[in-house]
Amino acid sequence: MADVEFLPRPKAADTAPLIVSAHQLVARFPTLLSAARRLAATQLHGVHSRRRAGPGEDFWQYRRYSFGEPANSIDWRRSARSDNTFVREKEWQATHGFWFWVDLSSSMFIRSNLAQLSKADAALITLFALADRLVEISERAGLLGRTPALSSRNIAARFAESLPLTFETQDGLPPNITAPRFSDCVLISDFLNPVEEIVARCAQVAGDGARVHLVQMLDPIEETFPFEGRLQFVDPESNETFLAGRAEAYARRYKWALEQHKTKLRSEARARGWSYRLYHTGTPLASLALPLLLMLTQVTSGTAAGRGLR
Amino acid sequence: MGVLSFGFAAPWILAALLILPALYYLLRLTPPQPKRIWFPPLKLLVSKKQEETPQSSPLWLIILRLALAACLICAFAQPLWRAEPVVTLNNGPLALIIDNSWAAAPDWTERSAQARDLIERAATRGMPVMMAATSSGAAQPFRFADGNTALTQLSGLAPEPFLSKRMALIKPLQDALARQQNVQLVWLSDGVDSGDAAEFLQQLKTIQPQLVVLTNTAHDLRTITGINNDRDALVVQLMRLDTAQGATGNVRALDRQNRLMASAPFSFANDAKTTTARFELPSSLRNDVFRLEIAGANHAAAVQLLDERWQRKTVGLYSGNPQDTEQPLLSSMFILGEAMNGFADVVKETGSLTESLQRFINGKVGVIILADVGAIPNDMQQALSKWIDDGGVLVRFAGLRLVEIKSDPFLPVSLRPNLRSLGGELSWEKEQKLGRFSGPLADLMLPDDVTVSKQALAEAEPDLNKKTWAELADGVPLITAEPRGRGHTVLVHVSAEPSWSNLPLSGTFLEILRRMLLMSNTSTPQGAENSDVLNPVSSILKPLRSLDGFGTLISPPASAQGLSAADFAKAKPDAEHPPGLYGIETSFHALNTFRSDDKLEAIDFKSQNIQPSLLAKRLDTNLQPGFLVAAFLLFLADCILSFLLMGSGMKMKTMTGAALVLFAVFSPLPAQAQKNDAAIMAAANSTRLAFIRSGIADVDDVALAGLKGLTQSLRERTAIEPDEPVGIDLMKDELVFYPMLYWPIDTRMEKPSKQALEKAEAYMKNGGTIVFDTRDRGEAGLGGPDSATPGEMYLRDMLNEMNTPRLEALPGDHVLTKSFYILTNFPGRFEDGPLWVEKTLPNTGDEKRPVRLADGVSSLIVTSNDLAGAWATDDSGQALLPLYGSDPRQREMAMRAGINIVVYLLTGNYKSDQVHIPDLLQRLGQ
Repeated sequence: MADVEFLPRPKAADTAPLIVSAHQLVARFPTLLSAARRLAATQLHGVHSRRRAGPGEDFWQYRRYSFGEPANSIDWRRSARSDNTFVREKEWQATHGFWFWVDLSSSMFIRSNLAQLSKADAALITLFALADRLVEISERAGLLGRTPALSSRNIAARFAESLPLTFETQDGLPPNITAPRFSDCVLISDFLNPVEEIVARCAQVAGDGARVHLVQMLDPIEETFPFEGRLQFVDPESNETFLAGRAEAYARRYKWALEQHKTKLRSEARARGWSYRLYHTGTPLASLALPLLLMLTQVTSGTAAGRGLR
Repeated sequence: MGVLSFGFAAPWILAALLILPALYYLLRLTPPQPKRIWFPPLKLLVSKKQEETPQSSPLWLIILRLALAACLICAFAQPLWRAEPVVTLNNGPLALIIDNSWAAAPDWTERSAQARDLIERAATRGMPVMMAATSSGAAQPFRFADGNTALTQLSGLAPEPFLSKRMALIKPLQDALARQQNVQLVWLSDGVDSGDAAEFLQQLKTIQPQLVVLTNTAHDLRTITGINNDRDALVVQLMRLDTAQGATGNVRALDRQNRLMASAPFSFANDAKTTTARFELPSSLRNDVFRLEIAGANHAAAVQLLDERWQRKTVGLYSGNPQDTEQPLLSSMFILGEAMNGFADVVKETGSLTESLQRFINGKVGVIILADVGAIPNDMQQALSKWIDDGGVLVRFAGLRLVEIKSDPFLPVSLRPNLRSLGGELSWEKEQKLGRFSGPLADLMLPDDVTVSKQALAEAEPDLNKKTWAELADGVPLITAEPRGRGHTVLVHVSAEPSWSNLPLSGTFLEILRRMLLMSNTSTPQGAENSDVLNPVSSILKPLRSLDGFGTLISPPASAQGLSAADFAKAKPDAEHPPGLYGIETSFHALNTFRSDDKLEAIDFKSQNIQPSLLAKRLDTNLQPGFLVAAFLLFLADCILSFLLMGSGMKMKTMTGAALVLFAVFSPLPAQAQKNDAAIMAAANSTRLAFIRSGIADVDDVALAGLKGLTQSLRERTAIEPDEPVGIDLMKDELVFYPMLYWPIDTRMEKPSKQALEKAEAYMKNGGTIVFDTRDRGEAGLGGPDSATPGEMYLRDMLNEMNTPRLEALPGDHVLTKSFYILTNFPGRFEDGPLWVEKTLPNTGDEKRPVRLADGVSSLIVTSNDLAGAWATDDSGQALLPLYGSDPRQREMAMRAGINIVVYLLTGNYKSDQVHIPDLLQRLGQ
């Protein structure tokens, strides 16, 4: 039977584990960061261009000068070869904004003996890895509502510094902030709140037209319910308890309920054009981070397929 | 019947009842504090409808379970209901007389239990006991001793296979009892009067008037008294002891190997003493019957052993040709004698014809063969005629003397005076072969090597065709016969020696003679004193196997002595001559317990004014089954109540579970077997790629998808068309069907058991190949470029326990690099991991060959490149996993690597043999 650990343990037994010491978390960062670096090193570069005129370095096209444009935009060498005046346009290679949010409510600090990492740790490693990699390929990444979009090399450390501030959100829902337009927004959580609440909050994040990517992190025990016998189940967020005389008797019903929950979340996400991924902390982290990064870079490369997501 | 009659055989187990209060306490105890489990999705787990199961069971359920436990404990203490003793003993020495003839065998258990009970009861009172068995005769101690001695004596006692001579006991009994006072005399009688029972009773009463007699409960003793080998049935005669009511039963016929051959019913009418059972068996089968027994009866007299005396027919041979004595090895007597020797007793007579025929008929031979004998003497005609009518078969062979007589009442046809010569120098006709068999010979095979050069010809008669049993290819009769009464006269139109035809030298001749034997119906009842005439040998037959009192064949007891063959027919079974087989293994005589002239009479107790009590069928009633049944019923009730108490959501599942349990209990797993068979059939019917399940879902999924991708490519590109790949469990599944096993190694998986590794080793040894893939080349760099990856360390650990060949990194000229595509490396998702194969010898320097010559196929291929990962495609053919490598064609090269491996495994060193093609072409002149 699975054993479940609560990381880090709450200091007082009578209160829900509300505040996790930022220092404790930061103390684990060096290892997390290096794990993230190693992960990112195995991932592929994605070169993307916008296939349309805009600020950039490569030549895109000549176009006729139209009245009202600043005169210094005219390409005189080209214009001298004909009667018309031309403007030299470059391909748009503007960097793309990526916004992240990681659920750090108490429920994420659960680790069973079937998994190596707690859900929060897995989520943070994924966050750091993605951010590190995106910055490396000249994108900008930011923590939703916490940092501006950054492109600094030590983005993971910057994120880590600003993370403790986000612990005040204990509801397990994304912040009440609308992400900038045309940006990608990665929301990592266990999404165990009612689907309606999750979808409403996510819809607000996506309100200006940002692409939303939901990553649901579940511990293996939450998926398989490997419990037997007389057990008391405790919700780490609400501290509610439930005494099961024969835990195995609840397995079927619970699995069915979880399946319903996931299916509902997935179909809601699909209906809104959001991507949805399910990750179990028992499986290698790369199986989440790699496809996620591939999808993000594909989206930003501006290909037809990428745009088709919208 | 007091309280004391209820008791326990193992009362100390009742001490376990002391744990019942503890059990009560345990059952009543509230359960311990449950373990706390952090569980975030609690809201999904808890729904309003569910109720908590009660923390303790209700009181009545506890009482039910305590009763169940008490029932079990009582059952294991073996409760007994002691029956009232049949014989009440007073304080005197006990003299016990036990009948131990075969008639005591059916209820021997009760008899000895009764005797034991009596001895034990006397011994507890400190009384001396004397025990005498009637079949053991006077050679017994006849001494009063303590109970243990008598018990030892009793345990050595077994029913004897003959009736007891009770009178032999009277004298020693009188002597022994004379010295004792107040003796209680008890006779455990078997109820069968062997002729002296009345006198014996009389004598016993004079010794001790207070005689107590116990006799067997059931008088359903039945015996086989004799057997008649009738013309069309084997008739078994039965006798019984108790004639009051009708009864039915079965007689079983068994062969030498104790296999049941047939079973025949019998039924005794009311008041009938005897009856018969009929086995309607073909006579050839009848001859295999070795033992007849009454089904269900376990005493020696219900068994009759059959020896060869009644199975084997006797054949009388007589030749009319005086020249036979000159060349004995070519004589018809010799040839016929040798031919019949295997399956009949042959009696040759050389005296005058009349005398010889007389002896044959008196000796009740089944078949008389007369070779080239002319007319039958007048004074013998009537006797011979009667013998034939009684079922004898007279076979005559032609010859110059026979042809002279033309017609004879003992010839089936009349003969022409001249012979027919075929194939001689002066004849146009060729020697004739056999053309057709009919009548009783119809099913014989026609031989091609039998030719006839001379034969006697039958006169044409209207019914000649009907009389013909064999004819030549041109339709001339060769064997003619005529039924007379129950017998036949048969004429073979050639001589019995090979001068006329080579028929006497052929195998067909044996078959024809055997048919004649089978046709003869002269009945020879078992034990009839006919053997003296023809069987004058007087040797001592040693006991071979003996029957014991229960009717089973055992090796003869030490007391058994031989019987002279001459006295055999008159012998009666006794201690020196137990019933059974006498002689040697190939030829034996059977002495049976019960003979046709024996009588089976019940002892007449009434005339002696004695009221015998019955042997109690069972002394004690064992109550253990009752308690066990009660416990089982309580258990069932408990199950049903628990089921009813369970939450509604669980009912369905439990019901399914219960149904499954019932199904598992009541069906000896046929479904499983069928499923396995189907899987094996599917595996054996086509070539498949297979992988070994690691038990880790994602690894297995990738491996399956990878093999599917490879299978698809093999179908598209090569002549190999594998079926759908399968994942197999090393422990459960049969490996022999798969040419290759792909074994993805993951450090998370459990180490295979020793048996599993042995199985894999045997698979490799028997020609299979395992492709180990550690799939972690990407982690190789962590400990230095050449260090082993964690997977490789794991694999190394695993292979250390197996007997594996030496490996080498794939040499450039290995046949694996050329088996389909020409490849230099074998990439998977990683491109630079080496491929390890069984070590081969490099080419010797002087030959320039592109490929190494190595026989066989490497039984082991090890890679770390994650081949299956690169092959893996989804249903639409899209690659599932990204690659780590610089070569844009890496996925294609990985597929080619897989194809090369499979082709290599299936074709072996075929490609390396192709190096000879230039030489071959040169030799062909190309």
